[in-house]
Amino acid sequence: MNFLEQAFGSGDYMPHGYCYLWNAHLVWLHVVSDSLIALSYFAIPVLLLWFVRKRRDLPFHWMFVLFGVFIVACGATHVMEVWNLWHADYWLSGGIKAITAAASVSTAGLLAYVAPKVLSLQGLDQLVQAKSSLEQEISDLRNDELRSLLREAAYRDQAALLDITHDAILVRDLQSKITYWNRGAAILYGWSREEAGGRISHELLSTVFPAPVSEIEAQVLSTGSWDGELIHRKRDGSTIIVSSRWALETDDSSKPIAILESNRDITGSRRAEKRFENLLESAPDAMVIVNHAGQIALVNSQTEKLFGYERKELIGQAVEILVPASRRSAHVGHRSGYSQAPHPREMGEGLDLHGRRKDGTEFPVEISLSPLETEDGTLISSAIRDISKRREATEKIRNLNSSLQHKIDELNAVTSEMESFSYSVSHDLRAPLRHIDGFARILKEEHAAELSPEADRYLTRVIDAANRMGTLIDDLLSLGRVGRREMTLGRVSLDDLVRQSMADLPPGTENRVIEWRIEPLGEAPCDSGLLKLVFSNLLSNAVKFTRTRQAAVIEVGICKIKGTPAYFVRDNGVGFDSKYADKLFGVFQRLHSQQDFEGTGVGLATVRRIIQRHGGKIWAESELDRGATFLFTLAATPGPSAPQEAEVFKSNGR
Amino acid sequence: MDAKPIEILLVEDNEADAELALHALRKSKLANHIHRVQDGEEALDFLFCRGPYSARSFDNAPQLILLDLKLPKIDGLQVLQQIKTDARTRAIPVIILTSSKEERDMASGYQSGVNSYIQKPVNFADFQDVVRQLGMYWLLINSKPPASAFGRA
Repeated sequence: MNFLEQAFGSGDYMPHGYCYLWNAHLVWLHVVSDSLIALSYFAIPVLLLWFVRKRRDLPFHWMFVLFGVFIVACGATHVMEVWNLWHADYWLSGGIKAITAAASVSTAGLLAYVAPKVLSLQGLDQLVQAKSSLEQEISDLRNDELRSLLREAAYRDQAALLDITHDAILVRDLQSKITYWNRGAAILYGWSREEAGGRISHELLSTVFPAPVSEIEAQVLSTGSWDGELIHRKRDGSTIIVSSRWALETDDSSKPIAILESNRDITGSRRAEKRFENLLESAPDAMVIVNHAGQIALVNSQTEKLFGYERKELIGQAVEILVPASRRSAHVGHRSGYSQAPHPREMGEGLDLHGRRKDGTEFPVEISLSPLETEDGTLISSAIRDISKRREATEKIRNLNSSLQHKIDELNAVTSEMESFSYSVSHDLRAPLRHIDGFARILKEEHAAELSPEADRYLTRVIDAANRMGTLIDDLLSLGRVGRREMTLGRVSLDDLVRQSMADLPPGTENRVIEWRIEPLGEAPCDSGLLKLVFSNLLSNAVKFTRTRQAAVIEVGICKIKGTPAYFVRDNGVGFDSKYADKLFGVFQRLHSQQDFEGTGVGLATVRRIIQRHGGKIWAESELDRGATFLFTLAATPGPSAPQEAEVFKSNGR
Repeated sequence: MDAKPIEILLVEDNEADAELALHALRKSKLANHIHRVQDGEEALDFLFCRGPYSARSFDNAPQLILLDLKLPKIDGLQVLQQIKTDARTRAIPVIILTSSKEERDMASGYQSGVNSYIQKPVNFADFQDVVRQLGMYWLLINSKPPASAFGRA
């Protein structure tokens, strides 16, 4: 504790500033000078340390470390000088000076010990000089033999490297005798290095050249290299296509000495290319393949046919040759835009695209684009389809549609005419009937005294006729309404409809014996109001035409006909002759006299109209006097088609 | 002009129809004071006490209006609308008595507030029966609207 107090406490000593009588100039002179000295002393060892680390080879590098410590200690004493101007830590300052002294003495001593050894080291200059004289000696050895030895040594060194590549590499002298044959060549062709060495390469490989061999050799000799495709025969007899590169080896006096040949088997990619070309040819569309610069790289024969150019006229041309003149400049922009981020898509969606033939005529096209990754970079493949025919067809359909629309408009006009017609029938034709009936009745009832029996009978005829015409008009209007009414389809319980229809039967059956055989019919998708009319008509007919029977039997049931449910109403009434079956459902068609069975001949026409609107069929089977069966189906395929039909009728309705 | 209280206003353009209706009403012995007008315009003049009927008073409103639909000048539905949108006439029961049973006519009639819709039967016996029943109902069974229903004290 005591020591620490002495070291760090100010104790009773005066700060050093008092010695300078706190003369500001003097104090600052000391402060600035000591600070700068300390900073420099601290910087020097950092630089030394960096130097030592970089030059690991430096001899006596521990000397530099020691020297660094010595200088740091010196710097520390100067820091203390500044400190002690205001604080009186003289013990601490003295301690640091003692450490500095120790470092200084050691450094000096060691330096004295090392200096003689350092002197004995040779200088760098001397080394450099020795090297250049040695090089001079080597370059002096202008001896061909030595150089060729060196070259062979180089081949041997490279041989290991050459063996790694998959390419077949061979060196042959100017007489085509093989002097080097790498592992790749042995694998590709099937002959080992020993077997191939000394053989004439063209004979060994049965080389087929793309040009006379003399021309190729002349080119190698004059330009130093040749590139091309060769066909070689392997040891197993199979032939391959190789991409071949030849390079001429010369000696220092540029005298040719050997040819280095590197061959790569491209048979596979050639076949792939061939396949690709076949694919291109078999495409139904004109295929135009364009490189990144917009030049046509490949076309198929459909392109030739479509645009009227020959293949060779197109290859290498800007693709705009196929674009109408007015669109060319814009096309260049679009094309480069597409090349930035190519992805498969339709070209110019929603636009009218046109192609231009060689003869200048233009035709509408549809184009789909897709990028094609190849060794030569990304190509753009475009499939071009002539859509003139489709355009024509579309145009035709449009015309048909518009004429259809016209027909529909006409039909709507007719329908609305029909409506006003039936309205006036309903309103105006009934009025005179009422008058005829009304006044005839007044005559008959209130003026009976003035009428002869014959006149009275005639008046009865007048009244009957008027009423019958009233019924006819009502039935006709109801038939018209059935045809026009909007259908609302839903799942309807047919059993409910049968029950309601039976309850609504016309009066007059109270005293009759009728046996009802009602089978459950289930539900069906239909318009309940209209189907109710069907059952009402069929049941009231059955009741009417069994009137002459002692015991009438009326059946309602369901059966299946070709998988479709068919509903039937059967009676044991008077029936009809089946040869008139087709007349049964016509408007105003009757098979019985008014005297025997009253009726307007509209009821079954109405029924048929309703069944037709439901997409079903109705027919009847009978024999004269042996009852009749009326059968009907609803929509042939219930479900989806039913609402669609409702749609159709809706649009045709009012 | 006519000080007697009118029981029924018959709006009918057709002479024969009018005669038959009057005959039927007379035979039913229900109404003695029936006024007949020949078209929609005359009907409105009568009801709103204007034109040839300006001497009439709203206090003397008919108890029942029998209205045909097909009328010259202003048709029955328009007459109905004017009756039912005016506070002075709205409470008068209106019965459409027409040849037509067209759905759209029925729908517009009821939408405009008609009190009843009757199709004239072709058969005069039926017609007489209908007239007798409706007269019985509207003139005897039904309580007629009080004066306050017409906005009068």
